[in-house]
Amino acid sequence: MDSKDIALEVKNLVVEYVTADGTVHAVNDINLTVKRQSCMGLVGETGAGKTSTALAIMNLIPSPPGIIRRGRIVLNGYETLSMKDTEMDAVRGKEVAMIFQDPMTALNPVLTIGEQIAESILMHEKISKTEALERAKQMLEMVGINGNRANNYPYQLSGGMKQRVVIAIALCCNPNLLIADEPTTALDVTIQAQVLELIDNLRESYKTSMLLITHDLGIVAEMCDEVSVMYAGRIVECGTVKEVFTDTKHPYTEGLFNSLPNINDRNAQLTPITGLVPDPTDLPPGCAFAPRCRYACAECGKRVPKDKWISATHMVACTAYEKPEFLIERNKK
Amino acid sequence: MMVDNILEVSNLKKYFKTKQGILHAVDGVSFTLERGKTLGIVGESGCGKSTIGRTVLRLIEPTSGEIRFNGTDINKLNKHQMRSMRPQMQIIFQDPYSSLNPRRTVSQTIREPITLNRMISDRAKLDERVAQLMDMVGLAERFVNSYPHELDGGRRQRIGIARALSVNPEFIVCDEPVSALDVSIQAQILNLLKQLQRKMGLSYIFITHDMSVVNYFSDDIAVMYMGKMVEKAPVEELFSNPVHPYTKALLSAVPIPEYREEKHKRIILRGEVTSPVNLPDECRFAKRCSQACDQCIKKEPPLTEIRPGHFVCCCNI
Amino acid sequence: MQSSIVKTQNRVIRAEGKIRSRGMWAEVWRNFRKSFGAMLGLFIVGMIVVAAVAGNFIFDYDEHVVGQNVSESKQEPSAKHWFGTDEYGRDIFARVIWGARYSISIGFASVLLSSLVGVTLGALAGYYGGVTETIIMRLADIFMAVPPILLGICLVSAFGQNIFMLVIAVSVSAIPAMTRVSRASVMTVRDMEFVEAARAAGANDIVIIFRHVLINSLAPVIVQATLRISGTIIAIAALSFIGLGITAPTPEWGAMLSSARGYIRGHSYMALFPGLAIMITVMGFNLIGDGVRDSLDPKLKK
Repeated sequence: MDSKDIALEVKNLVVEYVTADGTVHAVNDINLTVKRQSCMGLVGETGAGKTSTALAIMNLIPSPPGIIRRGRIVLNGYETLSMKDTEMDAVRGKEVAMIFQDPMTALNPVLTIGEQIAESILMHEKISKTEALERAKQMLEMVGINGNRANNYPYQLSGGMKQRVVIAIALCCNPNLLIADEPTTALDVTIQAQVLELIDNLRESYKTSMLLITHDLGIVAEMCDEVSVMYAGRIVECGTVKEVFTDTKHPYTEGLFNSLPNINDRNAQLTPITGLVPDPTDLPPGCAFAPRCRYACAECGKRVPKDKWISATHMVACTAYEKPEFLIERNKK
Repeated sequence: MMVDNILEVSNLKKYFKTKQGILHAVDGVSFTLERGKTLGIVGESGCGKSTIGRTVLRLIEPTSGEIRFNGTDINKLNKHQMRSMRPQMQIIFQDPYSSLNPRRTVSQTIREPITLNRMISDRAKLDERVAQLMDMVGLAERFVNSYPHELDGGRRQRIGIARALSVNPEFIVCDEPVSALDVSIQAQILNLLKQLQRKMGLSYIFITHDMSVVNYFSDDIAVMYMGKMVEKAPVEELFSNPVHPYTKALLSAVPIPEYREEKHKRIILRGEVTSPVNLPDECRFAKRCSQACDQCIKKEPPLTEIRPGHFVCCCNI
Repeated sequence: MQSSIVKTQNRVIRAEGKIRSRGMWAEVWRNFRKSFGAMLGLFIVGMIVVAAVAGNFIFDYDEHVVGQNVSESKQEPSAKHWFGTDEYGRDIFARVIWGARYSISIGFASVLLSSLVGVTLGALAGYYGGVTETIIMRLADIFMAVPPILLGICLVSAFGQNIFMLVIAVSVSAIPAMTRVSRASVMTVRDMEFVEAARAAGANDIVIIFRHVLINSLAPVIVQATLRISGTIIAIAALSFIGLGITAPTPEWGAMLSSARGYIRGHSYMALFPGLAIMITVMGFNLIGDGVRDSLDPKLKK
């Protein structure tokens, strides 16, 4: 693939948190590629390492206790991990911006929303303050808030509106890559629909690439072109949405689908994944999912599964596929 | 044939006084719950669904209305009589973290309702009952002396379920019991609740904002908007044939985890829910409704039965 | 955010392998032990308490502590008199050691008294709200408006000068702060779901307040109380210094400072040692207080 077509490349990233209770292996050697102008979904449950991955890309891992042990992150040609803080400040906002989960805490309560948008414009562009405020108003209009409300303080806005402001701040410098970390988890469904549509439309008109972190496979199906499924700090399956949803390969991904109530078939039985997510300070040897996996064999507990490429875009990390006849239940039907 | 209703609520109201005026959290809601069945109450935050759950248990005192539980209007009971009713009606909470007292062990938490109601006083029998309850909800016995902070969300939610079951209730309000859990754990808890219902003949009010969960779990569904019930129907009917514009929008807003070549066309609602303070006499949904007409802002429409069991509160029917 | 997830995760899984059930207090003690400052404070206070108890057996009160021996007056510190002697020839070391029992016991007693009253009032105000709250909190405001030393002076001069009055005087001025802290804390716990669960189970107000609310709202009260001990010790010394607390010849640190102030030019050691005693004790309690606060709320730590 031509490097010009790649917005973000993460190579062999390892993130750990060293605490008194042991070392938390948050991200264990992951590879991730986001193509330009496409949307990659990063799916996983609490503690899978999704947020740590996002923070590493932003070079914002809190240190201590966090350490990026290994890996390369290439953001639109910039090697961010080797950058100085001052250089990184210029990249953040301009090249990559982030939308956080909780719009309530992402805004400064003592500044008006107009000032907050203008502030991030001024960080990257040499324009006057009045011009920046004018731009801020335009940004507000674009995310569907009346420009007159630029003088409002965050507490005067509802949750959905605050998330719109956060999106305006993230997009005001037209970043190449937008990282959205559970952008709608704190919002109601009808507001979620509004915000997702807004993000989708803006992404189209700004030609922004996106990494969308979520636990909701429904949102992935609606928003993303490609998806990576994360479990215990590793990517266990990735591919286009079509491949992962219609030709699911990894037992964990299958488990996620089986755990979801199907809105179109209320009599379908829910089959939860048994057991719990492993302790990130003490991951099982071999495949981290093996203790919960219904297909696990002795081999699975011995070594970390290798990435197996099924097509140019579809990868699964599961030892069972070394036997060519292996099929998960979902694919037998 | 007479329908055996465990709960009959009529014209339930709960108003809160606020600085801006009177907040109509629950505004004249009526419904019935058949024994052994589940009524799902769905709606967005602030629609009054949690307030309903708490007022039918009188954990919040209703402003007015009738709550007939097994034929008795519990709203007329005094404090003492109410306390003796409590074992029959229990609640399971959303947040598995704040719903357990952090200073009490699993066993202390589960046994508390039993000892408070003086159901078992013999120490050995009490321990036996706790062990039985833990087994019933799928908690390993080794956690009996653990503290809540030592357990994960799913297990904590199981403690909350065991606590509710400890007094042999007939009716349980489940207030978003799986919203705070990861999907794989969510399915475990949903299956457990269903299995307990079958085994013990429990009746549930299941409060949630998640349409796919309520679809899986309920027999009847009531959709709430700003303190009013806007549509109520058996679950298949509601999902296959929604009538109220708000229900339609709510259903269409749910992201479906299936691959589709074409993106499906969603109904995107304008605006956001405002809080139900000082309401004028008009349809509460009119401001966001795409089909609103003059009729809608003249008078608030009543809840009417359009098909047997299917109630809608809308002018355009 | 991230670290808190990580933290719970740790505990979660550890519970999988073997069950190590630690109550909340065991957890607090584990954190407390890790802090050097807190352990130093505990050591200092421990030493002072040991010294105060041992002093009972080493020094005879009538002979060494209050007995005058003019022939040895105003001696510099020496091998015989480690801290020197005062103007009546009394051994300052013996007096400082004896003084510790007054400062520490009055400190503890008045903090205990003010906590008991303050927590009860605060719990009532926080749990019931409404009129109860208004009355209690406005009263607390009124008491807060009077400077503590002034309040002490008033009480002592009105009801007489003795140790009991001193305890009351020092406690009363600490009650409003205790009431506020415990009210705020009770209010946050009051609305938690486990309180609702208890009510749904049929618990009455008394069970709810004592078993569920109070025990979970004690943390800030304990922090406040440990930090208050040092303030109380200073208040006692201050009252004694101006002649309203414990009076000569009883060896109270503040009173000793007061009588030494005339000799501060020629015999500075007479003021130095009681002063140091106050300082070190206060520091010890403050270190403990900080440690308790940090270990009760690990989020405060970086």
